[in-house]
Amino acid sequence: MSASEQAAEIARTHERLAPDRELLHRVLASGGEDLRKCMQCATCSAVCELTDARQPSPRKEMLWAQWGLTDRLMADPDLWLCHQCNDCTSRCPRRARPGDVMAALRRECVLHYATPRAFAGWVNRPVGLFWMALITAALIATAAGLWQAFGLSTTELSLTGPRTVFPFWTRLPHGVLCVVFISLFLFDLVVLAMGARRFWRNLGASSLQPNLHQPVASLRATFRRILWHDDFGRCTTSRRRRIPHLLVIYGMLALWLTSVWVVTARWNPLLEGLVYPLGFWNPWKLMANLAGMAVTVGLAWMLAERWKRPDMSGSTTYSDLAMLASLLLIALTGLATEMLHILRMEPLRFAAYSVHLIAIGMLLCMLPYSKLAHVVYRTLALAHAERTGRGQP
Amino acid sequence: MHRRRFLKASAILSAGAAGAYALPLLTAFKSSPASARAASTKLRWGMVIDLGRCPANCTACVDACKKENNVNTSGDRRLDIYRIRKVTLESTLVAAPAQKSVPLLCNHCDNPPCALACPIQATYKREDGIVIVDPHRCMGCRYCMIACPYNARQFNFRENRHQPNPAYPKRQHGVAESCDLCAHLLDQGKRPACVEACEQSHANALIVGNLNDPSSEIATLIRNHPVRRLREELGTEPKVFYLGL
Amino acid sequence: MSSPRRAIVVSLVLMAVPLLYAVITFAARPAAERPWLEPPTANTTCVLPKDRMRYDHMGYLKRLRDRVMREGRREQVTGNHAQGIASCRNCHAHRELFCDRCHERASVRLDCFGCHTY
Repeated sequence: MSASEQAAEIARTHERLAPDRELLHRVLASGGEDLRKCMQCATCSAVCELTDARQPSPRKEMLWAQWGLTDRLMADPDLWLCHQCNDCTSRCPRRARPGDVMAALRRECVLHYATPRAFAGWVNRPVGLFWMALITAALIATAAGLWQAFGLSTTELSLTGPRTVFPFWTRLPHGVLCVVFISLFLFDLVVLAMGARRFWRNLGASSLQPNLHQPVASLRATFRRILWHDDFGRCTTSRRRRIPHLLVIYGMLALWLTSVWVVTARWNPLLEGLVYPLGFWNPWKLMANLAGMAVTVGLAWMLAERWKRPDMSGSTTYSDLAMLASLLLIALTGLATEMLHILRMEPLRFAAYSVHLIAIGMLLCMLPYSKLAHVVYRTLALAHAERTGRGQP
Repeated sequence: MHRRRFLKASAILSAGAAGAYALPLLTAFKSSPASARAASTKLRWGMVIDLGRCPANCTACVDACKKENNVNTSGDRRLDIYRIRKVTLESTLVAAPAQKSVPLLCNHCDNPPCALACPIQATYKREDGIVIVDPHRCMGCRYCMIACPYNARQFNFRENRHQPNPAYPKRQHGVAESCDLCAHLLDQGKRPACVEACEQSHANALIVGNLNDPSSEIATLIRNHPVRRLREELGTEPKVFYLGL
Repeated sequence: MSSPRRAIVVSLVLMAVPLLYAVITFAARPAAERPWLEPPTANTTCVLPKDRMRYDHMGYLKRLRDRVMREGRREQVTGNHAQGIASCRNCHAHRELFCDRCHERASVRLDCFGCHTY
């Protein structure tokens, strides 16, 4: 065979790899410091309950990460099928912490699919918190100011009177809040949708298995899997994470239902004649209070687990803390606002409410770029897995 | 040549200046209220009472008014309402003592003190000059009664149980009342009840008409005879003119 | 069913309780019934359509009053097709079976007939 024919043969049968050393360095910097210790013994894959037997992970992700093979990693559903139970980390003979590497890779995946990329990098740094708080505050203040300038606000400067330090906080009609937060939420939806579309296409393109199951049946199976948190239950090491996670997501679901219901109050015939603020024994108020407490308990539990048992929960990075702490701040300030309202401590109540609003704004700003985006990506990966029959024992 | 041109120019200029000065004067005259009223053909109701023809013991106008307007008269003179009433005036001149029976009613002044006093404009002067009370709006403060120099305004101190005229509403307890020249009849082209009754009793002492219309009977009477108004020195400009006062 | 599953089911069912509560209290509310009103006797149509008259009869009467009293325009209250309060009885003959019914139900005092005849 001539040299050119050899080259053509090689080009046909071989794949040219393009290692991305930047990815490797980023993973090393954010939790995967011991990545290079991996000797590919596959103990982690043997122990993992959630992996597919034909394409065991996290062994292959460790290898791909060492080589920085972005294309394969970003289209890998196993990255998201992993629920970080840390069974692999606890069994790794080299202490390479595959669980933490998977977490770092998931962060990279979120950043990879988020647009704009610069935004994503900036949001994931501690200084981003300050800027997001400032931007949210500026957005709310501008909206409130414009609202008043156009005479849309009918609320008078309320109880705190001329002694208020920030008078604009007391002029926050529902319209302003709706406009600001729904806009932020729509922005998040757009970014997440763009990322989700690319992710789903990549999943489908790189999948070696054909679609085994029907789409509707697989969607139902995905839904049930998330509903019962069965995957959390298949863990050994981090088994205790199941209940606080359940508390948080069902608590937030109940709070969201209450908010949606209350926002419709002006047009909702079922709510006619209801007097605000709702009485304590009103079912909506009860449910919202219980849900708020559930969310607080769940988040505090998760933070406590991370603090007291770091070996079982994996290393905690800024991204994890940012998500947990901002959610906890929202829950606590929400409950505090309610308590202060009951105690009629007005200036403090407005302060708590202002912090609550800013915290929600910050959360919405960073939602598509932070760990919270797992809501979209993990769901898509699970749907893909159900469709292709991946990970079935 | 130069002088002629100069004279011509100065004549034209001074004529123009005079005209320029005269124009504002003309418009000033035009816009004065008195001349505006004289020049307009707008309706302006007035009344002339010929005391020479008014018999002393006749109360036809009073009774007709009571019947037409459902006025509250229950027999108690302190509380009864009289939109029009007959008063006996005595002349104190030693040389010519005389007694006259004079019908008194609301004079529908052009500067009505009652309308000025009313805090809520329940009493107001209509465009055609009639001073009228809106009983829906009246709140019963009685400032108008204090303000009227002719004591022409009355108050419903009691509920009114009479309704001799079902086509016209009555007043409730707590509302001020005064003659409105039977505006509901005037607006339909008919004549006030008192005028009708006076004619029917062959006295013809009350005449109602348009003061702005120079050919009307009332305008002719005022032009040709010495008429007087009550308490003219007060400046209320009453529109009820008395002949032979 | 395992214990977490039971807890999930129970909490989802409980989340539906407030909605059910709202629906049930709404359905249990007594329907606002209108009292029986004497139907109009004449064949002619009213001044305003029924729904408008129902909510705006006072506004209509006020505007009419200002027109008649303040502006002296009596064309609407004179003649055969009079539209004032005194002419309502041409079609609605009995006040007790018409006006008073709704006004008593709504506890709104009727002032008109202290002066106007019906």
